[in-house]
Formats: sequence, C-alpha cells, structure tokens
Amino acid sequence: MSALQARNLRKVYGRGETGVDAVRGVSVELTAGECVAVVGPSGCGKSTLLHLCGGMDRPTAGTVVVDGVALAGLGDDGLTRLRRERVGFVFQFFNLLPTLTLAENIALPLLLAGVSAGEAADRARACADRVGLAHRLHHYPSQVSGGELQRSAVARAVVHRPALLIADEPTGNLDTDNGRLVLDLLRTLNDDIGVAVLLATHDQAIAARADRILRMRDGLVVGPVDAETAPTATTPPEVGAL
Amino acid sequence: MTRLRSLRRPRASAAKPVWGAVFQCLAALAALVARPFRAALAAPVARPFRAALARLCMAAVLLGCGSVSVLLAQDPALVTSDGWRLAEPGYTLQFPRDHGSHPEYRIEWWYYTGNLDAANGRRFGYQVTFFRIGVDPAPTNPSRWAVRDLHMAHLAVTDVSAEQHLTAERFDRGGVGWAGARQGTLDVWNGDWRADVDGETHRLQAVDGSFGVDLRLEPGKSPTAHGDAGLSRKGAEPGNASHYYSLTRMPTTGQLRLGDDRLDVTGTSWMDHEFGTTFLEPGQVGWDWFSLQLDDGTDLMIYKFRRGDGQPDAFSSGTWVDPDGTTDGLDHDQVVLVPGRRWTSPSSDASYPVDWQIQVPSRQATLTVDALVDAQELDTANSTGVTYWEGAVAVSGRIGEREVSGRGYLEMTGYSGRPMSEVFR
Amino acid sequence: MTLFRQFILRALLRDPRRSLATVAGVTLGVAVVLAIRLANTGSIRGFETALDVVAGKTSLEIVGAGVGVPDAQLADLGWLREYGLVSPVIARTARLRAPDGTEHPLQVLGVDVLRDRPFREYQLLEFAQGGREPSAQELLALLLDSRSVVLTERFASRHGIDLDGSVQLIIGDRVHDAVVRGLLLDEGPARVVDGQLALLDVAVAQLLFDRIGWLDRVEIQLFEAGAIDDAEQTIAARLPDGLRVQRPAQRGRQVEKMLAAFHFNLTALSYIALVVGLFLVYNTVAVSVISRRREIGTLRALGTTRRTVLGLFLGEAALLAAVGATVGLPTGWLLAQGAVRLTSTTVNALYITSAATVPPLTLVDVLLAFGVAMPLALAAAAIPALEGSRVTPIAAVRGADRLASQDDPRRSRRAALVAAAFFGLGGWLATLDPVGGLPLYGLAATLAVIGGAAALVPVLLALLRRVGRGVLVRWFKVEGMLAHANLSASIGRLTVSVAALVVSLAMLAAIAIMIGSFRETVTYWVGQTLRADLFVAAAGRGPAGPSPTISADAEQRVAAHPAVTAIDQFRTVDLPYGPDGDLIILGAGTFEVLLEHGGLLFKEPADGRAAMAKAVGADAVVVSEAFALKQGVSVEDTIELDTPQGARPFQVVAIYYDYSSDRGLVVMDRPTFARHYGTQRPGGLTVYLTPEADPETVREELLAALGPDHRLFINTNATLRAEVIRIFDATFAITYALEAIAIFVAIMGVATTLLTLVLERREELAMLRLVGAGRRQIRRMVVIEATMLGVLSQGLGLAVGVVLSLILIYVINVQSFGWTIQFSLPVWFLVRSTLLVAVATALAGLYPARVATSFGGEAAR
Repeated sequence: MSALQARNLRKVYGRGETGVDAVRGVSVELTAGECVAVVGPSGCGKSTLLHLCGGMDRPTAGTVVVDGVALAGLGDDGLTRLRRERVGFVFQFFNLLPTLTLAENIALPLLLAGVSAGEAADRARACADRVGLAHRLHHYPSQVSGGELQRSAVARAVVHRPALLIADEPTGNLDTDNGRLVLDLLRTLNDDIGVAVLLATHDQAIAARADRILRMRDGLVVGPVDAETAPTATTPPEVGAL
Repeated sequence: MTRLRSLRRPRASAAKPVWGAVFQCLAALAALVARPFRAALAAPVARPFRAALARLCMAAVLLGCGSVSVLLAQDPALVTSDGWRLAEPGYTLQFPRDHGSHPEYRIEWWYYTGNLDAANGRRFGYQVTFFRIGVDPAPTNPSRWAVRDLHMAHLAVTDVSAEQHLTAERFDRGGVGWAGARQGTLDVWNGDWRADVDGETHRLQAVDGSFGVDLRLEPGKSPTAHGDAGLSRKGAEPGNASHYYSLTRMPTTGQLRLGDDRLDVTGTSWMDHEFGTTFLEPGQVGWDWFSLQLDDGTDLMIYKFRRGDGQPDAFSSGTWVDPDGTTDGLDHDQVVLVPGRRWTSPSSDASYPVDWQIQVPSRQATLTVDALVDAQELDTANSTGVTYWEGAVAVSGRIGEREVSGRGYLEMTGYSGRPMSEVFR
Repeated sequence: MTLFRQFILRALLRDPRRSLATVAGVTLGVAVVLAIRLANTGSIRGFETALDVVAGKTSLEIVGAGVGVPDAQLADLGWLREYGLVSPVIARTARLRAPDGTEHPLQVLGVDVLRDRPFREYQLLEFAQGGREPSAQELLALLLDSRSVVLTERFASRHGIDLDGSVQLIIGDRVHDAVVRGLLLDEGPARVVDGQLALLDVAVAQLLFDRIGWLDRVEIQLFEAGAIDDAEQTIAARLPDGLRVQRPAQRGRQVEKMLAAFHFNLTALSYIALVVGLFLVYNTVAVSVISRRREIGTLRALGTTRRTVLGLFLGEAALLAAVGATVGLPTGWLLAQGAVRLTSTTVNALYITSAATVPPLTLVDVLLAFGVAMPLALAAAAIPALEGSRVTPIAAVRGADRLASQDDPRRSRRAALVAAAFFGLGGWLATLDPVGGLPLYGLAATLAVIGGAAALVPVLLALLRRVGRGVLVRWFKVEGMLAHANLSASIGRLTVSVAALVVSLAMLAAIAIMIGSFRETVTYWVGQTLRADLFVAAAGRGPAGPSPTISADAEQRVAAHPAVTAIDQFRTVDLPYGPDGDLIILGAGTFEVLLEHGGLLFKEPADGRAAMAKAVGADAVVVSEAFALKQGVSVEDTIELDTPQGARPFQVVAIYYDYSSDRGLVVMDRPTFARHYGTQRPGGLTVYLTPEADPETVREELLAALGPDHRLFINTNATLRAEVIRIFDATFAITYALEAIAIFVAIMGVATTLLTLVLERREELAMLRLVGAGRRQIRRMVVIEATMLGVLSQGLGLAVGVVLSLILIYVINVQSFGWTIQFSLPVWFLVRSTLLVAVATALAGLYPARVATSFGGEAAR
C-alpha cells in the first residue's frame, strides 16, 4: 500500500480571472520507505503541493490518499486525526515550543493524541535516542544548536510513527554539515521505520539524496527524474531545464 | 411690594401709584373671590370719600372678611358679623387718646399732606399716609404672622421747581412689629416710616432710599371734628360712617431729603385721622378732593363726586374752618366747582383739570386753584388701567371783598381708562 | 498623515473587534468617571436647585441656632431694612395627597408675599391668562386662609388637581385639608423642582409645621448687591447672640461638605475603571507594535524615522482614546442616570432629601473626559510605542520575532523589592492624618498598595512558571502543559493586563471585606441599640433638615395604650458646629428612659451608663463616635453649642457608637434641650412595651387608635432592623456597580491580551495544529490560559484586597466617616467572587480561543 497517492492535484488561490494556479495537475505517489524530493524555483508550487499532500490544505481538484485514507472525505477533526496518526511535519524554521524541553516537544504529538504521559515520555526518549539527542532531552530549545533543533523537530515529526513525513526545506536554515546530518537522519528513518518522506528543497545536493526527484515549474511537474540521472550539484536543475 | 421702581432711580411722575396695587388687587379679587360684598357696595354712601378710603375698604372686604352686614349686638356698640365695630353717634373724640389706633374698627388712616419752603426758595409738596386695614379681628391661627391688620403707607414728594414727583409705598402685615400702630397716643409706623408725638409736636419720619421727609409738626389749630361731632355719616344705614377729625393747619419745620440734598424746610401741613368699619360707595365715575389753607387763616376741605349720569351727587360736601377754629359744614349744594385749564398726561392720555374755580356762595368766596406742577399724575396704566392725579396746589381769590391766597392739596380720580365703578365691579 | 491612514487606520479597521474592545474599554472608563461626577453633582445640584429656587434673589439670610429664628426677636431686627429688603421664610417638605389618592413629596415654602415679591417670582396661571403677575395683595388674598395652598400648574395637571380643588397636606403626623387657590405657571421656581413646590402663607406654614413662634430663616435682598461682604460683616456684628448671617449658598456648601467624603470615595473608585480601561489602550498599541514588527521594519528600511513611528503609535492611542472619550460622554450621562438612582437612596437616607437629577453635560465634562483620557492613554501607549520605534530595519528581513521571554531571576527579585517598597510606603501613608476631612493619605496608601500589587505580578507569574506546571499538567494534561508553556513564554506581555485585573479584583475584595465587616458591625450595633419595641416617626421624615413633628394628640394616643410602659421622645435639629460650620445633628432624648432601657453602645468611658446618668437634666451631652473623631473631642471635654441665647458650654460625658450618620450626633437630655432651645415637639418616639405584649399587635392597635387623621410610621423592632440593613445595602449598591464595571473592563483587558498572544503566536498555533492538535484542544488551551490568569489574579487580588480592606476600614473609613468597624471576612462572598472571576475569565478566553483555532498550515513557514 502506498504511503501517499496524489492524483491530478490542482490548487487555485483566489477566484475567476484573478485566480492563481499554484498547482496545475500534479500526481505523485510514494511507497513506504521512499524519499521523494520536490525541487523547483521559488513559487513553482512545491510548498503548495506539500501542503495538499499533508492535509494542511485542500486541493481545488484531485485526490489525496495518505496511508490508505482518502483526505477528500475528512472534516477538520478527521484531518487532525490523520495528522496525529499518519503524517509528520518538519519545517525550515524549527517551530519548537520555546518553553517546553526537547523531550516535551518531541512527545507533544503523542500527548495531543491522548497517549499517557509516561508512555509518551518513553517513546519520545526512544525517538530522541534515535536522532542522537538523548543527552539534550531536558534542554530548552534556546539552549541547543540549530542542527539539534531540527533533529528534535524531526523526532517530533516521527514520534508517532507516521506513514508520511512532509519536510518543507528542512535544511534551509542549517549549514551544510547540519543539513547533511538531518538528511542522513531522514534517510535512516526511511529505512528504519518505513516512513515515506516528501521533501521540498532547492538544495541540489540534498535532492540528489532522494530516491526520486520531482521537478516542478509553474505548478507543473516538469518531469520525474531518477536520482541516478539527476544533474550533479554543480549544475542546478533550473539551469538544466532551460 | 415694599419698594418702588422710583426708589432706585427717582424720576418725575414715573413712580408706581401708591394705591395702584390696591386697585389691581381689587379688580382681580372681585373676580376671584365670591364674597358678599356687593350688597355692601350697593348700600348708599352718605358722603363722597377719598379715593384711598374707598380702595382700602374694598381691600379690607376682600382680604378679610366676608359679610359686612350689620347686626345689633346686646352690647351698645354696633358690631359686624365678623367682629368689627361700627362708627356710631355718641363717641367723643379725646386727645391724645384718639390720635392712637382703634383696632376694633376695620379701617383707619393717618394722612399728612403739606406745602414746604426751603431756605433757598425752593418749594415742595409732600404726603405721608399710614393706613391700617383690619382683616380678621381675632385670627384663630396663633402665629404672630396671622394677619389681623394690614399696614400700608404712602410717601410722595413734589419738587415744584424741578417739576418732579416722587412716590414710594410700604405694605406690611402687623404682628411681628415691623409695622403697627399703638393705642392711646399717636405712634404709627411702617418699617422706619413713623408718625408719633413728642409732647404736643407730631414727628413725621419717612425717608425711602433717596427721598423723604423728617418733620416736626405743631398742632396749630385744635382738632376739627368733621360731620356730627366727629361722626362722619356716609349713608342711611346705621354704622355706615366713620370717626373723622383733622388738624388743618400745622406749622411744620424739618428736613426734606432729595437725592444727596438735605434741605431745611418750613411750611404748613394738614393731618387727617379717620377710623371706621364700613364706608363704601357705589359706582361713581370719579371724584375731586381739595384741602386748602388760606393766608387769612381760613382752611377749607371739599369733596365732590362726578357721577356718570351727570346728576349732582348728594354726598359731596366740605368743611369750612375759620381762623379761630370755628367749623362749618358745607353741603353739596353749597359748593360750586368749575374745572379750568386741562393738562393731558403724555403717558395715560388722561386730561385733568389742573386749574379749578371754587365758589362757596354762602361765604361769598371765589377761589382759583392751580396745580404747582402739572405732572403729579400716578400712572398705573400698564397694570390695572387706573390712573389718577394727586398733588400740591396754589390758591388765590376773594372772600367777600378780601383778596386771599394760599396753598393746598388736590386729588382727582376717574379721568383715565375705566370708570371707577367698573374698577370696583 | 497618509501614512497614519494607511498604516494605523486601516489596521484598526481590519481588526474591528479588538479596536472596538479597546474603544469600549476607554468608553467605559471615561463613562464611569463621568457618571459618578454627574451623579455627585446631580445629588448636590438637586439640593442646590431647590436651594436656588427657594433662595430667589436672596443675598444674605439670618439663621438661628438649631431651631430657627424666633419671631420675638424680629422686632429688634428692624435695622436690617437699612441693608435691604427683608423676608421671613419657612422652607420645609411635606407630602400631598391628590384627589386620586396618590401621595407626593413637596417642597413647601411659607412666605409673607407682601415682603417676598421682590425675592421670588410668582406667575399664577389665572393671572397669566390676563397677561400679568398677581399683585402682592392678590397673592395674599389667595393665601390668607389657613386652608389655602398654591401649587404648580405642572404638578396639578400631572395629578389631576383643579384650581379650587381639594387636596390633603400631610405634615408630620397631621393630615390637613387644603384648597388649591392658585397654580404657579410652569416656569422659574416651579419648573426647577419639577413642579414639586407648594406655596403657603408664612402664618399658615407656622401653624401647619408646628413652628409657631419660629422662622426657618429671614432672607435679605441687599439694596447694593455688590456690597455683600461688607453687609455680611456688619450685620454679623450687629446680630444678637444665637443668630447668624450667612449666604444662601452656605447651606449648599454645608450639604456639599456633608456629602464630600461619600462623593470623594465614589470618585476615587470611579477612576479605577478608567485606569483599567487605559490598560486596554496599552494592550492595543502593544498588539499593534508586536503583530507588525516586520511592517515597522520595512517602514524603517524605507526611511521612516523613529519619531514618525513613535508618532504613528501614539496617534493610534490618541485616536482610540478620543473615540472612547467621545462615546464615553453620552454613555457617562446615561450611566449617571443609573448612578443617581443607586446613590439617591443613600443620599436621601443619610444626608439630604432632594430630587437628584442628572445635570446636562457641560464643556467642563467634555474637557474632563478628554483631559483625563487623552494624556493617560498617551502615557499608557508610550511604552509599546517606544518599543515600536526601536524596531530595526533588520526586523523586516528577519523572520517574525517577538519579545524575548524574560526568565531572569534578578528581574523577579527587583520586582519583589519594588513591591516591598510600595507596601512600606503604603504602611507609612496609612498612619498620616486626613487632609481637610478627606482621607487623601489613606487613598495614597491604597495607591501604594496597589502599586505594590502590580509590582508583585511579574513575581507571581515567574512563580507560576516555576511551580504551576505540575498542577496544570496533572489537571489539564497536554493542554495544561501547553497553556503553562504559553503563559510562561509571555510573562512580560501579561504583566500589565494581569496587574490591571489584580488591581480591580483587589479593590473588589477590599471593598467586599470592608462592606462585609461594616455590615456585621452595623448588624451588631443595631442589635445592641435598637432595644425598644416600637419606633414611631412622623411621615416624610427626612435625614437632615427640619424633621416633621409628632403632635401632642398623637403622642397621647400612643401613650394611652395599656401595653406602653415608657416612651422616649426624640427630636433632632441640624446645628452648625465649630469654626467650619459643619452641620452636625443635635438630638434631644429622654435620658431616663434611655438609661432604664439601655439603647446606647458606649465607646468610652467604660461605664457609659453611669456617665450618662450624670448628664440627666444637666448641661452635658453624649456624642457619637463620628462627632468625637471629626471634631477631635474626648470625654470630659467641654464643647460650645449655638443656642438661641448664644453659644453655651456643654460637657461631653460619653462617646457612643453610632452608624446612623457620619455627620456626628450630639445628644442631650430633653429638659436640657428645652431649656436652651425652647419646647419643641418630638420628631420621633421610641416606645417600650410590657414584656407580654406583641409588638405587631400593639402596632396595629395604635394605628387604629390614631385613625386616618394622624399619619405615623410605626416600625416594630424587627422591621426597623430590616430597614436599617436595607438602607445599608442600598448605600453600597453603587460601590459594587462601580467595581463590577472595573472588573468587566479588566477582564476585557485579559481577553485582548490573550488575543495579542494568540496573534503573536500564530505560527506556533499553526504548528500545533500540524502536529495533531484539534480545534478543541487549542480552544481548551487558550481558555485554560485565560482561566489561569483569572484565578491567579484573583489569588493575588484577594491577598492584596485583605491589606487594602485594612486600610479602608481603619484609615479611610475612619477619616471619612468616623466609624469603628470590626474586621470580618465575608468568606462566602469571596469564594463566590473567585468562582465568578474564574468563569468570567474563562468566558473572556473564548474569543481569542476561537481566533487561535483559525490558524492553519499556511502560517507554518
């Protein structure tokens, strides 16, 4: 069963003639454990695509099925439950609650889902272990480095074992080393817990590490490109597309 | 209404009339209060009375009183149903007792008029009058403020050379001593206006704001009792009368106050004192009244009613006082009054005869009376329409072959607006 | 200006709810201040209007000591005419029963119209039709009869009374038949007291009001109005002992002074609402600054100066305050109607009988509204506006930032020190004496304590951060944890709002404690002092001024009842006392009866009864605690009281507790009173019954015996006690109303603060939603935050409130009113109010909570 099946997604912001087609008929499918990078210039629609796939936004047309659950039929509560159970998010800005420790931040999705505090703490600790933050568990976000913050964010995104992880420029705010570390982590999680990762980036080096690359331009997928055939980091895909 | 407009700024002939308020009251009250005074009004009046008297009677009836029908009590005195004693024959005037107040009678007044000369030759006329009007001889309310009597007072000064006529009045209830009259001797006051005696000498003090008089009056001739030994009958009804005497020639000295001036003055005054309970008149159009002091020592008082129907009025009369004090009553047919030059009031349009000729054939007297100042009118046209004239006059003429001259006071009513009978409706 | 329109106005319009909330806050604050001001002036104005009407063109008046001016002295006062016109006056109140059976209070003026015409205008309907005023004689003719009364056209037409119709005047216990002989036109005096005016002849007034031999005053209209000072002095020098000359306005000033403490305290309370309202301005401007840092940064980057940015935000505050003040003006006037209703019971019960009406708004009110609201709003906005002006252009390019959370223990310590300093200052201020009878230092002490409380707020919030989490997590699970996290992150932002709420709640708690204690005390006092079985009072009895009397006939009928064992006659008169002419109450009671039956609760000496026994028939008095405190009098002192014979010394033998009047009571034995002030009919009777008699039955029997000709109010012990408590509660209704408004505004402040926080945290909230938080969870979280703030504020408020109540009870109350109040905690009220505050703040959190759930993923960048 696929972790994500998105068909003919279309998203128009606004109405009528002034409407802006952010996404104009994109299909994408991820199987469990797969990592797909979406690349493209700013405004090409990759963030919108991620939002649609993560159930953060509703498509104007097309269908999204996450882990076998069709989003079209879900209300707000359904979407909330979907996110709680099957989707995880990582963003460019780490978005950790500053007054919660890393452990608490990581445990938050579990707690929100009603998991008991003890179990949540255990699972958060295990998850933190996995991302290499065991020694930082009781630190506050302001006390740790950017890389550690993003690793915590990743931990929080997968603590509830989602089928799909949406990562929007997860390395955008990190230096190269830390970026690489985070990506390593994502890849490891791919393999370890079988989570599918939909990753938006314009760092070619990052994209290169995905299983597949989805190149977007003006709301369309310009072409699925195998990771193996992707241009090298010295040749930006945008340039190549010209 | 204890102060007049003229007090604040004296001006000629602009003062509110002394009795204007009374008229005003009467007109309104007549309509407001249905009291049985019309019957009384209808009673024949023996003699014409001075305007003031008539008005006061009306006021008393209206304010007090109720029925004025007479009842004969066991007591020899005649008493009205509401407790007032009526004037009747047999009363002997005694002095100084009868200078004092007679509270058992409803109406009483002390009336001073006179002509005065200042050292610098300026001439003045003055009038100071104290009225007492009984309202209720025995009020049931024990309050001192309960009205047994009302006290009115009138002050007028005529500045002949300046042709100015100033007036002021006082109106108070008795009770707390702010106005009153003592019994047994002359002492009548209203605020700080006062007439009393120092031995035989009358003292008269009445200054209101910027004008007034402070005078000493010697008795002069002994009192003249009018009518029948002082009983002045007004009608056929028993008791329709008053006790009435005059001091007709009182040598006067003192001070006259006019603005900032305090002038030493000398002259001659006339004092009336009258008290009674019922003396009302039917509706005459008006009347003319004279008090004259001739330089030969003769004094003369004359009333004459003017009737609307033009008929002679049977109650007009007068008193002739010889230099030695001998008095002689004059009936209406013994006196002829001929009006002369007329003065038209610019404010009321009323036309007053300010020159008169008086003939008393029985005394072979022909006298000419001239107002010292034409404008001695009291104008109340803006309130009741009642306007009348009262002021100082000069007299000249002949008695037999003798040339005489003199001074006096003249009062004229009913020349303006409604006839008095309507005012008294 | 363009910038202002684009940057501030549009933003305000885009967020109308918050703008409205802020404007509403300012509006309420201004309105409350104005309402109290108007109500205060209204209650005095009502009296002064009546005073002006009655005073007419009077320039000076002669008044007597306590009982009035004796008629007998008038003949010796003839010299007054040298100064001007003189008119005797009896001015009283009575009730009139109209033909339809309804009863109405009336101001009654007894005058001598012959003298009074220059003083007052009397336009009578029937004369006006003839186009003129009635003459003095005409008026006199109308009034002379002792059954005559002249009413106003307005009153008559309102109650269907015809000219020459019959009415009944109820004066004291007597019912008089009267005939309406004239109707005053609806203008001048008749109009200002809303037609509630009756004109009597002075003699009739003396008779009906049991004042034979006495006038209430003699009025003088000076010939030279300009020479009033000279005239006052020379007349004063010539007057015999026992009489004084004063200006009519003096009575107004006495009343004003009498009410000063009551009004002052209300005014002080009203400003709390305003101050709280201004917190809202702070909030709004703060929100403005916070939510738009990026925009400000852009503006700065584009070359806008700091001063312009500061100006923009100060302009925003000024605009909000101006709109608030503008709307506050009419709102205040409307609120004043309610305030007048709330205060009039007190004013009428304790001070003066007057038809209080709300005066129209004047320029002064407008100036006050703007003059108070604008500068304060600017001051409140200065802090966030300055913060806004300091935003650097970098903020435009950097991501959204916000105030760093201040988790600095030194900050807490400093705040704690400041709080301690404030409390110390408050303690010191509380020991200072009043200024001019007003508890200025006491109020300053209150302010200091409030300042201390506000300084404590960050300490408290820091404490919450440190220790509150466990509880919250245990009670509210993840939402509690998040709420705690959010609150902890926003301490700096929350301090001001919470402080405002704490201050309001502290005041409420303090006032509740004070009133509760006062009520307990009064209840105890009533229990101790109201010992008699029946209390008889004449109808229409007022709190001040001349009280109507009980006729001898009525008293005999009461005394004749077989169950009656003793009667204490009581009579009170107003008497100016001391150099300032404070209007105290002089009472005459039957000491022997009081001694035998108890009734007074003595403060000192220890054996008050023995001391009082010595005062029987002697020139000695017992005085109330308020009198002793305000006039600085102790036992064994000798005080001088004005009597008709001049000032006379009286020895103070005892001080007793009294809560019936803050003006101060001096009580002497009846024979002593009669010796100095003449025999006066009593104004009230206290009746003691045989033990086996049933008061209610006796009351019924007495009323039957008195018949319809005597109108007396007979209260049994129980009903009078209830009445005392009723008046007590009515007195403080306005206090609660004011507080409720302040709290309402404060809670609105909390709501807007939360809204601020919610808007500020929009990314966080969006992220929460993404990590799986449902709408309900978000809502719960925000509501928990709101409730936490409420409960926390109430907690601190209660603690501070206790301190404040101590100042209120032992300093302000004593200085204002001179009453001893026993401290007692109204536990149930405080518990209830705590629950109420929790619920109210929770409700206040609902709106920000709804806003919080609206943030979706689009914000998560």
